[in-house]
Amino acid sequence: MARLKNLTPAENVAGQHFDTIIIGSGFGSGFFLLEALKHKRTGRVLLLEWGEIRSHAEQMEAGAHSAIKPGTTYTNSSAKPWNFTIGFGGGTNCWFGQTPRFHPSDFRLHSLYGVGRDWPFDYAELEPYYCEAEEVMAISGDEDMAAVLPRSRPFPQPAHILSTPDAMLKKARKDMHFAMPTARARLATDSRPACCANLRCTLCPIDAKFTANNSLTGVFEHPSVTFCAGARVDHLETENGLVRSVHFETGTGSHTVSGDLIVLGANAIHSPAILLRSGIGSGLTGRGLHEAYGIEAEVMLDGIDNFDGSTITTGLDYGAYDGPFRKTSGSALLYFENRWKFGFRPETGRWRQTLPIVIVVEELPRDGDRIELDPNGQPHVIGEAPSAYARDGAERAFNLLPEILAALPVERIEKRGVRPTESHLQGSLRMGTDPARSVVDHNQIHHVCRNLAVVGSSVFPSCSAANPSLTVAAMSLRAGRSLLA
Amino acid sequence: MIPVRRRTVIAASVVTVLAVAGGFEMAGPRPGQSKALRGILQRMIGDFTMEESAFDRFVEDFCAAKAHWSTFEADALAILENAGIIRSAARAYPGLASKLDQLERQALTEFALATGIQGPPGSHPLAYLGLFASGACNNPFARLA
Repeated sequence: MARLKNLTPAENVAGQHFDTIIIGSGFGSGFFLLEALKHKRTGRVLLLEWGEIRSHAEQMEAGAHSAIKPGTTYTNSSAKPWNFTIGFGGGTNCWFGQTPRFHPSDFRLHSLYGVGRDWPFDYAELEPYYCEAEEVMAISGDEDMAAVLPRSRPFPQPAHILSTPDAMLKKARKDMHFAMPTARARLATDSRPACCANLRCTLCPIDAKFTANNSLTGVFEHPSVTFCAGARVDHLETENGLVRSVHFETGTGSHTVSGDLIVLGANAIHSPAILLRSGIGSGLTGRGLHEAYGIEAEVMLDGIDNFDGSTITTGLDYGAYDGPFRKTSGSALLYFENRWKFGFRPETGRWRQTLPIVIVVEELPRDGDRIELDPNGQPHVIGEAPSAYARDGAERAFNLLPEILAALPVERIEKRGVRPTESHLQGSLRMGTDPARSVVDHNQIHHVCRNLAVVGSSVFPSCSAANPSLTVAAMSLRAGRSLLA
Repeated sequence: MIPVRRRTVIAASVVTVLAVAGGFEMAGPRPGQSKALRGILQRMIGDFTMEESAFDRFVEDFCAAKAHWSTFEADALAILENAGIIRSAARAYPGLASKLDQLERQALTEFALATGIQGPPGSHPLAYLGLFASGACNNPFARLA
């Protein structure tokens, strides 16, 4: 097993007091820690990670990010699987490195369109933190994207090379069609080689995408941090409205540590499960679990070859993203794939004349989609099929494809089915200003336990069609600064 | 339109194949798989020259990588292909047509990438270089600079 310099057996910390205890080591926790270490108030930090520390080389050898299969950690009667990684780095291991920001309208969904919820802050408030998170991850992107997502700094890395169809669309739709912003390095960094479009992003063979392993170990190994792996947090103990101690289990037994500030980032299934086992919070705890809804399409091109871009997804189109239609159907992001997801075309001379498109649509979180505890105290996921709002959004976006693709020679467009999951679990500890309708406040502090912060996508009050990880990272930087500066 | 009697025969053969093929496991390409995949590929790219052992390695790797094609579903398709009735069967059963289309496209893609061809191979002997997924920076189409 790989090691961090400060890896410490749980028995050595049992009974100790720490200024800050962080649970989990994924995007939410990692970026919170990155910010927290800049502030004196953070003090001594204990980080508790359920899984093991597995290096990139070990992951490649095992063909897996972690020995813990996510499906063994919860039971599920919802309509879909929920994917995540339990191990050092959490979701930084398994993500694809797609990093679009959320759209300004995503933060004001209810005000603008009368559905869903507004966020307790707006895009402008988060924008500087987006820039910082992009810097940390060395995001490659297209400056023209500022037409849709205003930005105060350039992207740290230049845009990836577009495929031929993407280049044609960008020329024709320069305010709507952009090179995909991504944490798959366009240029080599100190810790990562440039992406070479090997198309295996879940576990990149050359380690080109940002992960905690290749880019944040210095943060986790900071002299102020003590790191315990294989430490599964069971519950938190409260006294007078504050969390006083954290109870966790390892292979050697149960242990307790105490802390002044507790940061919970154990994902949108296990974070609420910890709170439910702790008896913390209202009936909203665990409710609102959601993710975006995705379908796939294949565009048969006439005389144009695809696959010549420099990364797995080269284009992103906002032609179905925002407008009054969001009153009744979800916004959609269109991902233009630079890969042979459905194989080459069989016709001689036309093998590469295919363009797979993924249509990802926002969903409206529903209270009935939730985490409960089973009789053993483990999380049980309950959820209904995707809503009509999401399905209508997908249908609307699909029907817009002929118009959006007008600059391409298109022979025909075929639906290729519903994606089983987007692997983005969100919204089970939602953020808001009203304690009667939310679990954490605008700074991600629990409404009841004021020394408990929740990080990660579990606090999302609504669901953007965009990938969540960059927004999680930016929000953690913001939460860390607002709490500790 | 395929006569009802012929549809029944095809359906019976598929069921029989599924039942028989589901009953055993073995290492390497299953009987008939190499022949079937070669037939499918020849239909798509024309005749090609490749050593039998190299082609068997491709078939073995392909079936291992596409786990759903190493089960009895693949055996059924292989039997139908080798019997020369796969096209008729696909016309009779839309579900089978979709499976056949997937198999053909996957086989073509993996074979082309694993041999480096970007069109009909002609008479040039082909070498098996390994599946695309077994390499690192081996995307033949990507422009990186």
